Amino acid sequence: MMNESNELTHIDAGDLVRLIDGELSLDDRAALDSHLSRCRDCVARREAVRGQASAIRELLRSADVTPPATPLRVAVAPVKTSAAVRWRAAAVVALVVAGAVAAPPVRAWIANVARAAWSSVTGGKNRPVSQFVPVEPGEAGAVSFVPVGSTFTISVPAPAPARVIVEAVEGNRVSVIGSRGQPVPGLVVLPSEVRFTQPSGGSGPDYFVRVPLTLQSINIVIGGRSLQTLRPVTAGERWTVPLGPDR
Amino acid sequence: MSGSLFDRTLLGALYQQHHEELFRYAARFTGDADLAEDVVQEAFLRLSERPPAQTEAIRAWLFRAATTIAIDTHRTRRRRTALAEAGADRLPMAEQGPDPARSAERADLRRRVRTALEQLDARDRAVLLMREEGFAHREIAEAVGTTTKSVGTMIARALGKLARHLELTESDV
Repeated sequence: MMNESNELTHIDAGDLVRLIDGELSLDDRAALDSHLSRCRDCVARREAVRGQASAIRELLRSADVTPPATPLRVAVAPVKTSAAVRWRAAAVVALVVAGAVAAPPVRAWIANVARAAWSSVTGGKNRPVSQFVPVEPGEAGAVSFVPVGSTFTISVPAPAPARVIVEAVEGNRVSVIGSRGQPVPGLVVLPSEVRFTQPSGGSGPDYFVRVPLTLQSINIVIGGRSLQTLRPVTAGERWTVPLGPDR
Repeated sequence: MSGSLFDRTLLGALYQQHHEELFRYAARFTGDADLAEDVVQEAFLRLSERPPAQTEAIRAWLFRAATTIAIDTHRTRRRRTALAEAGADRLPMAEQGPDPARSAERADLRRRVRTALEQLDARDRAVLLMREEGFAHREIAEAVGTTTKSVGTMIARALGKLARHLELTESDV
């Protein structure tokens, strides 16, 4: 900001940005406008900042990549608490506000979503059942999906007396199966990664991860251990990675 | 993993509303489309697992989470890539067009912009990119942990530095 007299010092660059962005109080804005009315240098600097911002915005937009149509891949297990209800209610309000300004087809869709969400707030019987979203369980105890990219990571947070068994298969899908076909506890699926978030004490489950040959490398991350990298070459290759404490 | 406060429908609706802009932000921030997808998914995972105590604006919360995740993940990914000596070049996702010359031009532009953004420190980059997404200085300040007043200064610094690295001339602006 300027000094007391408003005359001797030029407007600093941060204030020019605040001025352009409409972030100044009325008093500060009046002081800067007054200075600008007498200072060609500051007017030129303000226009230079505007020009830079505008040119950079154009370049960023030109360089943007198209967002992929990847669906949400988050395992959701709802718990009904007062905080949950408060959150849902707030989110429904946000959806309704968004719906009010949206184009008619979008508004109708948002209205449907908000109605369903409100039903869950009020304990309606249509409340959806917890599921993996929208990674389809191929069969009981298994999750199967197409990974993004050529590198895939399998993360286990801490050693436990169990194993990760990785097998290379034909096709383009990763599948994750727990011991004896049981659901995999604490599994999180990301576009190029699976995480087992619940390391088991005692004897943990074995994890079977089938990886496609389309992947060039599989990173195994176990707690703080060094990264291990597998490179599948032929279908049927199998690696057994013990999770237990190092010997 | 603790239980979620969100059910499938609501989380899906929020994802529909915000994932494109969140992806754009994360892709600009990291310069890596695959990584940006991970950042978006992780932000929604955190929203489902550990939503904030207060029912503040979800959009600002998501961008704040994405910023933290992008900084952490970018660091980890770079380390992992170095350790694994992965051969694949993690350039932004290629978009195959009918005109190879135009595609090459676009790839050059992306490389130029990504390289310039990488010259900014993470906080300045976040500040600049959140401004591009239309956030108020107060929201940006909360996301990067600074004062509202400092945001203007950080934006000015980031713009100046980026303009230099992009070699913008007076005729460009």
